[in-house]
Order: sequence, then C-alpha cells, then structure tokens
Amino acid sequence: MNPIITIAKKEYLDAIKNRLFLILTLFIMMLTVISIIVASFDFQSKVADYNISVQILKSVGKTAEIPPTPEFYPLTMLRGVIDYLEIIGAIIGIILGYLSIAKEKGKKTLQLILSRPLKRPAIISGKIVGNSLLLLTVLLIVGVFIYFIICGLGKVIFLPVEFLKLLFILFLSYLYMLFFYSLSSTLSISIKSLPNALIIIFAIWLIFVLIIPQIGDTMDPDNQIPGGFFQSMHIAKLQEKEILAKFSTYETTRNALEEISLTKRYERTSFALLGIKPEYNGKNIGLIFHDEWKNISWQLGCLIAVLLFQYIVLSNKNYILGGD
Amino acid sequence: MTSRIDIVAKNEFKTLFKENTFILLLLIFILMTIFSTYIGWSAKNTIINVYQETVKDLSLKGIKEIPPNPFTGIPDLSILKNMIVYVFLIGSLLALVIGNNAFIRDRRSGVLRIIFSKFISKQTYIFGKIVGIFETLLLVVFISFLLSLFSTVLISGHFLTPIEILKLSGFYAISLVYLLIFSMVGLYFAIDSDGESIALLIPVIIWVLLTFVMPQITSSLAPTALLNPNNIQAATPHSNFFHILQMIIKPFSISESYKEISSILLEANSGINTISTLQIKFQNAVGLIIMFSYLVISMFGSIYKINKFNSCEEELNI
Repeated sequence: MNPIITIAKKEYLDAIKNRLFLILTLFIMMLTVISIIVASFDFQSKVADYNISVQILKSVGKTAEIPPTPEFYPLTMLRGVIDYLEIIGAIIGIILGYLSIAKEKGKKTLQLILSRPLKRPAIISGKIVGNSLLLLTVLLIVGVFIYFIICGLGKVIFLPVEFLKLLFILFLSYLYMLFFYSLSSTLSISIKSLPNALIIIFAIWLIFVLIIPQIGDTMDPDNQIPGGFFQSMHIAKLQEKEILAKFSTYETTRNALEEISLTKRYERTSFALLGIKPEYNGKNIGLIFHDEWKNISWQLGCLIAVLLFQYIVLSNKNYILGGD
Repeated sequence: MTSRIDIVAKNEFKTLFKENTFILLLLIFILMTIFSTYIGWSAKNTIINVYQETVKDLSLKGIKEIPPNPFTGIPDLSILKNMIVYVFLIGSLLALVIGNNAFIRDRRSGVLRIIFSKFISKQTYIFGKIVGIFETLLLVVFISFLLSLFSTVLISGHFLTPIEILKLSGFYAISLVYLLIFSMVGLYFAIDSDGESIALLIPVIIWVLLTFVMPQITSSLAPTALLNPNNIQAATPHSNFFHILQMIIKPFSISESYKEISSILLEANSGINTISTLQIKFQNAVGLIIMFSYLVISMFGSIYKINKFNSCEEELNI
C-alpha cells in the first residue's frame, strides 16, 4: 500500500479512537443545536414584535407606516454555528495538530518511522491527508446535523441554491480548520516543550480568532451604542456612508486591523453566503464570489503558506530527531 | 504549617515568573490593558466627531429636531470598558492556564512523589499552590489597575476623583475574583484528569460554555457579538422562551454577572456619585454571590481531589 495512504489511515483511526476528538465533535454538535434553536426563537420573537407593531399602527390608523414583514431565510439561522466554527473549529484543528505530533514525540516513534525506507514528505503528506479527511468527516456530520434540524425538525425546504451555499460554507470551514491544524502541528514539532507549544498556539488563536476581530468591531463608530449610533440619529445608510467617508483614515485602519485576521475573512465570506448581510439575501453564488474573492483568496493563501511552512519545518531532520 | 504553605506558595510564584510562556501571556494582558484605554479613547473621540458631522449634515437639510449627543455625561472611566471584555476573555484563559500548569508541571516532572514523601501534606501543598496562584494573579491585576489608572489620568488630563478610583478598584477586585474562579477550575482538572491534554481541554470547554454558550442562550446574541462591550446591556427578545431561560440560567452565568457588575462600575452615569447609589440591583447581588460560590466550590473541589490523588502514578499521559 502507498505509504501516504497507510499513514493517513493510521492518523484517521488514531484520532477517531481518541476521546478528546470525540468530546470536541460532540461539543460542536451540541453548540450547533443550541445556536439553531436560539436563532429560531429569536426570529419568532421578532415576528411577534412585528405583529404587535402592526396592530398598534393599524389601531391608530397609520397603515402607511407599516414596516415590511420580516422575511425568513433558513440559512440566516446558522450565524451562531459559524461563530462557533470560528472558535471551536479552530480549537479542533489545534488539538488534532497538537495530538498528531505529541503522540509521536512522547513515544519517539517518528525516529522509528524514519528508520524505515520512508521519505519525510511522505510522512507529512500522510498526516495531512489523514487529518484533513477527519476534519471533513466532522464538518460532514455538522452539515448533516444542520440539514436534519432545519429541514427535518423545522419542516423547512432548502432551495438548491441554499443547499449549494451550505456546501460552500462547509468547504470554507474545512480550509479554515485545516489552517489551524497545520499551524498547530508545525509549532508542536518546532517548539521543544509540548506544553509551551500548546500555550503559544492558544495565544495565537486568542489573538487572531478573538482579539483582533473584537478590536475592529469595538472601534466601529456604529457599534458604540446598542442598536447602532446611526439608527439612533435616524440616519439612512447612504448618509451614513457620506459621513463616514470624512473619517476615511480611521475606517481604513479599523478595516485593515480586521483584515489581518483570517477568522474575520472567513466570517465575512460565510456571512455573505448565509445572507447575514441582508444585501446578499436571495443573490446567486456567482455574485457573492465576485464580491468576496479577496477574502477567499486570502484564506487560500494563508493555508498554502502554512502548509509550505509545515513541509519546510517537518522536512528538517533536526526537529524530528531532536525529539522532546 | 503556615511556613510550609508559604514555601510552596513562594516556589509557585517564582516558577510562574521563570516560565517564558507565562511572561508571554502576561505581556499580552498588559498590552491589552493599554490597548483598551487607547481604543476607548480613540473610539470616543471619533464618535464625537462623527456626531458633530451628523449634526452639521442634518442642519444643512433643515432638520431642527436633532437627537442629543449619546456620549454626553459619560464618565472618564468608560474609556476602559474594553477591559471588561479582555478580562473575561484573555484574563480568564490566562488564569486557567496558570491554575492548570501549577499542578500539571509537578505531575509531569514526577516531583510529587518526592514532595509527598517529605513533611508536606497534600493539603499543605495544595493550599500553598492556591496562595501562590492568588499572589500571582493579584500582581497581574494590580499592574493592570496601575496601568489603567495612569493611562486614564494621562488621557483625560486630570486626576480621577476618590469615588472614581474606588470604582476602578472595585472593578479590579471583581476581576480578581473572576480570574481566581478560572484558575481553580484549571487546578481542579489538573488534579482530576489522567492526561495532560484532557486536563487542559475540559477547562477550555467549560470556559467556552461560560463565556459564550450561556450568554448566547440567555441573550440570543451571537457568540462573537458578545465580545463587543457595547452589547453588554443589549435588549433581550420579548419571548417567554428567553424569559424562562434567563430566569433559570442567568444567575449561574457568571460571565454575564461579571460583565454587568463591571459595566455598572465603569460606565455608571456621571450623576451617580456614591457607591451606595450605584444601583447594583438584586440580580447583580445574586450574581456576585454565585460568583463567590463558584470560587469556593472550585477551590474546595481542588482540596477534595488532592486527597484522592494517587501520588505514586507512573507517568502522566499526553
């Protein structure tokens, strides 16, 4: 059998048997259920609020001022799921990357494998293929779960375009988790102490997944007041853009800060596909990709860079033979 | 016994500072303290300018009913509101790692067999560890307090009033309690788990549950939206489902209690001048009691678990 396939199979089976991986997979499934339930109750609550407003407006004879009915787009129920994939999905990638190296370092098996007629790139490729299939399995389980909850329990029918969008989101999530897997396994082998490696990986995760997007979000002038500053001032979207154009340096800095984060790039494309940004609701995938190509390219670029880095680091025999 | 607790505590304190990864995380914490002030100041200035531009724009269009400036009367301490998010996000994770590492380090190196074969009892050892963790976190929080105080004075251009300093101290005191809870959770699982990774992973899952999941269930806010300090007092949907969930879960959601109490301390209206009129509502008082309960339970849990710990364990699993 091809050595890459043998190693990939071993990686896959090892991780499936590991309870850490099972705990994390069950955890993300639980979070998926919670997010969809909360989102559906939130939507019901908005519809109820809307109906009360309509009744009040009708009772005072202001029928012309009745706002449009809240529209239901099933994919928008997945906002929380994307948020959790950003956070927990990255942790799953990190744990997988860490474990795939930690078990070898602990038992010094890499040295043993290298005593066989095997090339280092084959070992790395085997590990990447195995773990990559594992991530796809997790996302497939999450995808089936989403479909079952929304379509099975919620009795909502996905349009083909919505189904396709969901598949693209899962693919983007796969690229995102694979990035963290590669980063984690690379750092786990290049840093001598495993616990220190784990803490450093978590520090990187904290900075790029949570802190940088948080800073960008907090600095948004419209986010300074619950409900939005411009809405409180009764300013329309067009006027808002005109006013903010006068603060272009501030806005450029804020945006640049957000764009450093891979998480934010992944979030922007996913939110566009889900229709969280209302302007993308009902739009075709081609148009969304046309607008989001920079974010998608950035995500692909980061993944390729970290995979190359992984091949360079893991091909260095000093890291492998050094052990811990 | 006290002197032996002191020895373990001092050793823990020194070791934590010798570890490069701890210094890295501490540096992140200090940087975030400075950043939080800068971000608060920058955002406040920008929004005031945006307001003035909006007023100009509305006046040019002949609109006479101009809404008041939403930032009028907001206290100086409010520029530190980002610190609330950083403590419950970064600080708690940092504390969790410190608590976890305090015990895992000794398990990994195998020194526990030697320590427990000497005159130090398991209780003395764990009390020493807890004191050491407390002293470390106290130092981190105190440095952060001084930095916040100094940076606020520098930015606002005047000294803070005694009441403002008291409010700031109150915020950091509650932050210390919050950090201690997570360090004790980290310590508990470091004693209880049979492997190093699982000992860190389970507290991280608890951290995710307390930081993101519970607030999402009670407020319906998306997990990442919870990271914006301006969303702390966002309205919850008017549905029975959320009201019932709020009633059941919210008192136990310590991250929400922490955020709300801290928000009152840092962002309370400038018209409120004394601590007694800070309007710490019944719900917040309950939240505070539950926060202390979490601390006591996790601390005594660690003490209980150390008695059950097998000090003759062969090797710590990964």
